[in-house]
Amino acid sequence: MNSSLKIMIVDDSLITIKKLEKNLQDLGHSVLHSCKTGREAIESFEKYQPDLVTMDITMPDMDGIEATKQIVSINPDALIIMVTSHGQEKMVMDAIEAGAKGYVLKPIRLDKLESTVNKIISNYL
Amino acid sequence: MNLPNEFDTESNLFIGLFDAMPFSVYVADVTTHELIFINKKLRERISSSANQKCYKAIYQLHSPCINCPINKLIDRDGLPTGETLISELFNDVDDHWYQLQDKCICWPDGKVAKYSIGVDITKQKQAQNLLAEAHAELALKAKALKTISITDPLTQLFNRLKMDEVLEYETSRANRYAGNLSVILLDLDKFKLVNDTFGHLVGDKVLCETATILQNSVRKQDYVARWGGEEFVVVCPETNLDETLLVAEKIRLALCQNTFTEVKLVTGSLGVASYIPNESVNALMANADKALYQAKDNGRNRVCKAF
Repeated sequence: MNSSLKIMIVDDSLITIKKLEKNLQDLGHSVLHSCKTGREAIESFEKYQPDLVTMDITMPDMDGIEATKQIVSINPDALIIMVTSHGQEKMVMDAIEAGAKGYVLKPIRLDKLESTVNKIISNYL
Repeated sequence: MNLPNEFDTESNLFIGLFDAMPFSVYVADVTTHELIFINKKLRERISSSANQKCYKAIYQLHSPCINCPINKLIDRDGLPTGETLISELFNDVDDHWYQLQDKCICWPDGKVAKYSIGVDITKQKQAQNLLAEAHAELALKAKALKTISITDPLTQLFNRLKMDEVLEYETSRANRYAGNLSVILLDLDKFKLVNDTFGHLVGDKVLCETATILQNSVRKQDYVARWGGEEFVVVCPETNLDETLLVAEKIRLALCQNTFTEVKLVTGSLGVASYIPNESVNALMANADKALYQAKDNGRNRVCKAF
């Protein structure tokens, strides 16, 4: 498996999308699409079939946990990591239960992002 | 960015006080979201011109924040409720965490305004966030262990442990709703001969290929497990005996029509039983087992039902 992933970013903040895009590119990956709502994420996942999705939680028109649940129910092998500001225990548990494979909190630290993505590569790809 | 002139003295005092605070403070009109006042600390953070929207100036958004607290802080008539809301918020413009204290007040010129005091808690959040990330790691590991504990390592089907759980759940559901429930027991024919002739590695391959055939032959709602050795079980919720016989026959055909690696032809005998209300899981499985042995006695490669 080539360790350069095609990634889709889901976040309602354009600023976070830009920062994440730069971070992921710095780590050698490419961002093939970004979208701003959970509902859009479900449609875009089918269209772009990304290797990995970074998913925000609070978004208009379906939150990231529900979107994760729906994407994973259609594509059981979908690889999704949460990139969010929510660190409450319930949120973390719900996200993992929904099928998220990693959890990165904001502000995004490049080393944490890197280790999370690398873990996905070595465990699932 | 100033208070009305008629409040000059008071307002100078007010501005002086707020400017001396080591926290970011702003006041915004609750109807227009326009900034009425920002203190020195916040002026250092954002470049804002008067009358800019709070969400644009502070969060660089083009519409109000999803979690904007204004509606919780005013009553039906648009007047301040007097309540103070405290929340934590991550601002991705400067990558800092803030504890916000929001409250609505009547501004001297009669407008209803929201004031917000933001205390930078980035450092405190750092430890909390590391803990939450560690928590997530632990939850992921627990989930992986849970999967391992209910999976047959060779075929990746559910194992007997999981099936015991499924059978307990499905029999109690069938009792509660007077619903149908059936099971299929499959035993590969003369499997010992496969192992003795081709070796255990080939035997293992046959078991894995059987697992794939089973998964492709059952319906979405059915559960498939390796029951032990060369024996497999399929649990068919909300399915009567006749419908289950069709599923079993489909499995039997798929098996005997498949060309297995090296072994080529492998057949299976299948026993089907339906759940009788209030009987035990053991009784159900014993019935399926009897039907399976009936299939063996009748010459193998066939489906028999329990009576």
